[in-house]
Amino acid sequence: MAIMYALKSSDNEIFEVEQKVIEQSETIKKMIEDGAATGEIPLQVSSKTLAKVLEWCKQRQHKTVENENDDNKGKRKKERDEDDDIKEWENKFSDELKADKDVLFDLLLASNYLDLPALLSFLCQLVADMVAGKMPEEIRRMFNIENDFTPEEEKAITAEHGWAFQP
Amino acid sequence: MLSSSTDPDYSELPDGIVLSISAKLETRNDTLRFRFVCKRFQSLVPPPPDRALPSEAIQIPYPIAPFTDPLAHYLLLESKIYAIQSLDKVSNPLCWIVKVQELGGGRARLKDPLSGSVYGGLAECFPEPLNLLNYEVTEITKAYDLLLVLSDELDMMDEVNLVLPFVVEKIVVSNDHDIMAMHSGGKLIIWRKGDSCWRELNININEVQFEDVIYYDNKFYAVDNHGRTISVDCKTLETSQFVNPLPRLSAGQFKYLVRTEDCFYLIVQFQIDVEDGDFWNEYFYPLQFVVFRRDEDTREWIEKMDGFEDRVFCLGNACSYSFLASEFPGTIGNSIYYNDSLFGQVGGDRPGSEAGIYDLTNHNARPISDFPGYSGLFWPPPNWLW
Repeated sequence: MAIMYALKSSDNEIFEVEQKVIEQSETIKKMIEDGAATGEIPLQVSSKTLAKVLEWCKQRQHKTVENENDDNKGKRKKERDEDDDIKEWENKFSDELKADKDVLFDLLLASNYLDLPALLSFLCQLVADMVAGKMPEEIRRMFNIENDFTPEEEKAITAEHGWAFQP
Repeated sequence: MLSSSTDPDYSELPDGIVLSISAKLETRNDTLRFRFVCKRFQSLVPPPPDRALPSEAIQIPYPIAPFTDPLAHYLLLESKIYAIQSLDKVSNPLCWIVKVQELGGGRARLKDPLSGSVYGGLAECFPEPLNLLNYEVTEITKAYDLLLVLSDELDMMDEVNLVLPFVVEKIVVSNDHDIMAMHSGGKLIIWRKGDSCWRELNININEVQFEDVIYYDNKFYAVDNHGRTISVDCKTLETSQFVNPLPRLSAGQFKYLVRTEDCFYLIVQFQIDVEDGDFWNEYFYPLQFVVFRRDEDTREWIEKMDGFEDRVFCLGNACSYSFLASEFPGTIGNSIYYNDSLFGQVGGDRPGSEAGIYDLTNHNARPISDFPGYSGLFWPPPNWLW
């Protein structure tokens, strides 16, 4: 029988989750080990974001469990198929986040706060991919960042990273 | 606080997250642009290592007495060959290939991407400095030269009377800036960083005459006029025979070593015997390139006739390199780019003005200007730069 824990979001929604799933979070794992996790575990994460976090954790947990149950025969092919499935799942997950930068932002903070290194790394890669090949102005627009360089500072940076061809 | 708000400001992400994102950026330019988003990112993210080798950094002794230091020494000059592409590849799909020596402080010198020549008056063709942050900049390879620096005493001598006994034909440089120089008709000498003098390479081959040198993965490689290729460990200077000689090769054919991700190639330029009437044939070309691939098991050069669909070889005296045409749109696969005075145009004196493209299937060569849509690879600077 799986041990269940109740997680409470910042907006007071309760999520019932298996211990194995939620123990991927180092923060919660420590709380459980320290005996601090009795009853509901209050988290400073909104329900919308927490739902996404758990979606990620369940997907990862699913994969680990299946691999443990595999015998070696036919494992290779199965692993390949699974890798394809995971890629597909991750792509869908990424696309949703790209379209909703509020959730992406909160998820970055939540994965940091809950100490979920795999999710954090995944999200940072996602942001890096979104940033790659974009001009600073496009990045600012995309992520709601104000340009706090003066025109003079901008000019100096441009000159530093330019080629003024010598006669 | 971790509560959601509308329009989160990503510049407020915790330090660790900003650094993790920047660590996942793959190109130098992406890191530079990311730092340029706001002051907080700029102060958090360390600048990528400077690309240019400081020209004064490495002083190299002159190899032959009596002109040794302090009368003369060399400085190592580094140039790079870049493919520059627009960030808007839909509107501007074609890339521009340049050879640039970065002088520090945002100054740069433009060179011919094949011969390495420097042309005068090019600065006028650029209404303003190029801002590299505006483009996708891919380094294809590095190339090096030695700049001879004479003491005042020598400098004042009549240049006609000053015949220096040592002529560098080509140098190759390791990641640690060890240098192998081919000089004075195909001899090799090596200078390791920190050495007080150059060393002759100990090779037990009589009358050997080398024709090309390259560097790859901590080893120098040199091919002689018979195709025999040796490898030299940059640190121990241990040599070994890397490829055996090939009977059909001899002196008088230009030879170029080219390394790709997975293969060593030797490209040899043969002269074709001219028959009566050939000169009247518009498509007659008196040279033929043959590509040999190193066979790892037999250590032989094997002629490779096909399978170059997407492969581009660029051959030059200063350095040769290769890439896939699909990586850099505007280049033609299955071909060799090289300079020949036959391709020279009146009023040339521009990068690529002697460039031609040799087709590896039909073994014909035409000046690059004969290829509409591909002729602007090296010159002029494309309009989308500004």
